[in-house]
Amino acid sequence: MLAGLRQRKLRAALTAIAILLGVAMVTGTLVLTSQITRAFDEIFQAANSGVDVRVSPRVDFESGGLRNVPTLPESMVAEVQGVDGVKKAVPELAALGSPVVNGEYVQSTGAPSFVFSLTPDPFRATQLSSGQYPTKDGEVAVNEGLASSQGLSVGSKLGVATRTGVKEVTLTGTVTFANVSSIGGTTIVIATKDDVQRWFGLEGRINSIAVQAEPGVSPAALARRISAELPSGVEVRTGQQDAADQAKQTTEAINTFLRPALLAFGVIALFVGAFIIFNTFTITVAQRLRELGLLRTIGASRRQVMASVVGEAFVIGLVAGVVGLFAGYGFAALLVWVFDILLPGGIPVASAQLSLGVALTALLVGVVVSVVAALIPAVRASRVPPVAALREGAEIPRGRFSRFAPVVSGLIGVGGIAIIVLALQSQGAATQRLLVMALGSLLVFIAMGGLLRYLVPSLARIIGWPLERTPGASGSLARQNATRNPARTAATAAALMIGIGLVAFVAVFAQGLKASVTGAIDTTLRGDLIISGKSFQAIPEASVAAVKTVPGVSDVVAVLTDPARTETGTRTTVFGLDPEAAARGLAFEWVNGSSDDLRTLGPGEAVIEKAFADAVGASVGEQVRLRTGGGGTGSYRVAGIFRDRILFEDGVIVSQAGFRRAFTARDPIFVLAAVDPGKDPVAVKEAVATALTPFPVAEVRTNAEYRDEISSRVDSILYLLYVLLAMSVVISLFGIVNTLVLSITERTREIGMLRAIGLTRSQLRRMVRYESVITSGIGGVIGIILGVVLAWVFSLGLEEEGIVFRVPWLQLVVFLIVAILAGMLAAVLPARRASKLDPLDALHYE
Amino acid sequence: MTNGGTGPAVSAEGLGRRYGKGEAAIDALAEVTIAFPRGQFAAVMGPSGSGKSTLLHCLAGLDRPTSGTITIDGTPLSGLSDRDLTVLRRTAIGFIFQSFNLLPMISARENVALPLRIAGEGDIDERVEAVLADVGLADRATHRPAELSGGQQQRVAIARALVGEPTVIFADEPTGNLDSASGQEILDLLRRAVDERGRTVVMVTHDPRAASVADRVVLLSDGRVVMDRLGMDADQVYDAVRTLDPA
Ligand SMILES: Nc1ncnc2c1ncn2[C@@H]1O[C@H](COP(=O)(O)OP(=O)(O)O)[C@@H](O)[C@H]1O
Ligand SMILES: [Mg+2]
Repeated sequence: MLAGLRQRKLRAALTAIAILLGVAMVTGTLVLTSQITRAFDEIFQAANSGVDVRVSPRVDFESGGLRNVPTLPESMVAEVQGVDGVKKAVPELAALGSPVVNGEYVQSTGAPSFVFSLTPDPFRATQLSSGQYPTKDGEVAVNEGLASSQGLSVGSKLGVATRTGVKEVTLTGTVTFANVSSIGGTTIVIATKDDVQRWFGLEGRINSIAVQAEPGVSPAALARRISAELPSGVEVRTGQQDAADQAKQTTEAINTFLRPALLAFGVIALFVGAFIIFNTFTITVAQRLRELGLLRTIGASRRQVMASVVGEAFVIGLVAGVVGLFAGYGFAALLVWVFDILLPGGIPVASAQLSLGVALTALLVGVVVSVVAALIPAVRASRVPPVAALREGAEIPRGRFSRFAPVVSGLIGVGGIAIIVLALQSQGAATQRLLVMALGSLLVFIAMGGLLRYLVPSLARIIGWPLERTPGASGSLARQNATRNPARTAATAAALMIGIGLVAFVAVFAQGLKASVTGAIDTTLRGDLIISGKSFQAIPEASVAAVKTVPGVSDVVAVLTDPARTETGTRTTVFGLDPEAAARGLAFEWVNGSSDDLRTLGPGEAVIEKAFADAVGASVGEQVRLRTGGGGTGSYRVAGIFRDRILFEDGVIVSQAGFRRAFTARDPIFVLAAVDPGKDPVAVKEAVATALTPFPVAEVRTNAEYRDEISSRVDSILYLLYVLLAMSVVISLFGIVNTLVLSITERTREIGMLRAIGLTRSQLRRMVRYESVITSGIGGVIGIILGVVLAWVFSLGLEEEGIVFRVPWLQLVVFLIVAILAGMLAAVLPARRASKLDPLDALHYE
Repeated sequence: MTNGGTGPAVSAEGLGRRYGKGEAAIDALAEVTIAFPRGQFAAVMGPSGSGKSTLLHCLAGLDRPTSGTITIDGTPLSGLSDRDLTVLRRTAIGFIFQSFNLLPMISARENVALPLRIAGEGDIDERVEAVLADVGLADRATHRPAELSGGQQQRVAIARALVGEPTVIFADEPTGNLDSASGQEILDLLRRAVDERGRTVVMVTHDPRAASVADRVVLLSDGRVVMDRLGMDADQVYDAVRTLDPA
């Protein structure tokens, strides 16, 4: 009796964990994303705390972030100062530039490195924590975090990487943000306005103007007044509005991308958990036949029996919701930690807060998933006839529709495949089609979960083959145990199948992506060297000249980019480059025209990428009109159409002269260069690197090194996905543990008999372990097959996007091994419980 | 196997088994000293709760006695590790349970082969077929337990106990769940195992007629041996039991 209670407690705990982890992922996501958005809110609030009105250039759409900030003439400050009601108006500059300490470039991969111009009170966003603000050129203050991590103190010398080289400066003070919990790994250098202008080639230009109102003048009224005095193309907003607008941008990015992406993994985890709940309840209902029959004989109605099962699911869901809520905070912390590893410096996060909304979500999700998953077993329980109480081996009468179950599963699968095929053939946007295909894949997974039971016997035979060859009967007993209730094994394996399947899917997909990008680098780039900026920064324009002077370097192609839109809003990227060098350095596949058209490209001409040409219906000889983010326009005659889905996708290529007609980016996003034949590429690369010393943000790589870099970037995203999917795999392990524990209880007597006739403890443990491995092997094998097939189908859908299909065989083998090891791990506890059973139990039941 | 020795197949000296502690302690067995020579068919009888099953479990190395020593085939059980004890059960002991205890998912043949397969022995097919034929189930070899009658299932269990050629076979009320005709078949098979194969059989039973098939009847009461006689017929057994258990 007591053992029974403990048994039920263990089962309830294992079952609750199955959804608890999913609940934790969902709440963790909500908690984390609100931590991040709040951190940004705080930062922007702080940055605008003393600003009543801010004047900045108009931005129609984001044009490459701080890489290419539009500017205003500095003379506008005086204009603004002259407006009635303005107490003080000061210029503001913000640029990207990393500190250089002891000759070492301080890299913050994940977070930006800012250089701000010094502003007077009351506009300061920062507070001094030591020393003082710079008083003259050549002096800087930096953020406290940077100073302490780099061992800087007042009086230290350091460098700042700028557009015009590394500037030697002296540290006069360190600062912190008031009321800001974290700025992540962001580095901040504060210098005089004149320094910032000189360093970044912004003489006479500023990024914005901060305004303080006279007492009694409302910011809103002042903003209107200033706006009336200034030309169009200038945005005048109150400080609060400006903070809100800036925060809104990051919040939107987080809410439309990060949050749904992370939630998707939570939903997958819940889906896996639902399988486990369903399975556990199915097993326990079958084991409690007598008890349920007894309930019926003493007068419980079918509904009451059903309610008792649903009630148990409700309680488990509630417990999972409560514990999952708190575990969610742990999950949020885990994600912060993972981000910190993937993006050194990390992301700004405010402290976690408990909100009613999140708490209710956790409870609701836990209860709903648990109860819904238990519905079918509950209905089954309600069908237990009273006579089951009296008869040994009574069975639940099958439902009227249960014989249609395989048909239904089959139909769901066919439906899923049909949806995927239709999406493949439709002409919609790639993202939409992918979403529909994801839905189709979900159906395929569900169908596979339903059909797996019919495959269990043969799969168990295949996977069990080597196990059955081991000495002793453990292997064949394990195989026979795994197949005696195929539906149970199938449901248990299906949970793992989902996790492993998705892992295999992303692995195959990433492999294809890497192959596509590295393939594009190989085929499109004729040169040998690629120079790009660290931390996604642009490369200072001046570095191009430095590269050109290196002996042995030729065909230097500096690529400027700016986002642009057509009149009708179609997005594109404009690339400005030197036509002659580009015609030699870039090998395009031409749909219309040839590289001669690129070589002779005039300032009013463009060659455009096929997909963009199709999207706007432009053909050779026609004009394309483009808008810039700052509100400018440019018009180009189409001189040729090329195809490149990876490097210049949807792009418009113009000459540098043509680029400057409308676009403002001055610094290339990357620079390509060829090494003269006969020269040692490695030596030339070293020479280029030396020439780039004044510009530590620029990094030169051979094509091969660049390919590796791309691969490792794809990999780091892949690892993040693995971490998120690992949760689902872990959850399915609990499912295996649960099923094994329940099965062992069910087989107590058999186990006792086996021990009595000579099965040793270690043989018994091996039997349990092998059964677990067969189950996890089935989940692993089917998951991997499904993942590869789905990835293949997806790659068909993305053929147009240049994504190819590549199978990472070695990784797939690793996944299978992981699945098998997972099975062994899941068996540890059940095997121990089984081996502790007393052989006498076989006889005590008599 | 190991049944070439000359001493008794099974012997116990001063055997005691106490359940619980202090006031509430129950002596399921007390000071039992008994030996079963090779080739003997012994029946253990006694009222319900007299310690029959406990004796059997202790002798078979399934339960550890609280006092006394047990020797099987010359090997003292005390001091054996769980593993060695298990191996001893596998090689020297056969088991027959009241409720058959066959594995439901495998055939009769596979159930019979189980002890040999657990032992990792090769070339077992012939031995298994021979034992199956011996218990008259050659034509039922591929049936699952659920497809067999109770008597047939118990015969599979006997085949399973015989296949490893153990020194001693323990049977706890092997006919308890069977009708009398099937029960008689089981008793005949056990008798033959002793007569033709030289096995030692120790069988717990409630049924005086079953006991009369045995060479020897041991009567337990309150954990003690109160009678131990050779060559009793059914009526004698019946009388002996009745004196102990008036109900
Ligand atoms: N596991 C146990 N725990 C406590 N008492 C037990 C246990 N097993 C048996 N007993 C007690 O030991 C005595 C002998 O039991 P048992 O050997 O099963 O008798 P029999 O088989 O002759 O009916 C009984 O009083 C019984 O209650
Ligand atoms: Mg008994």
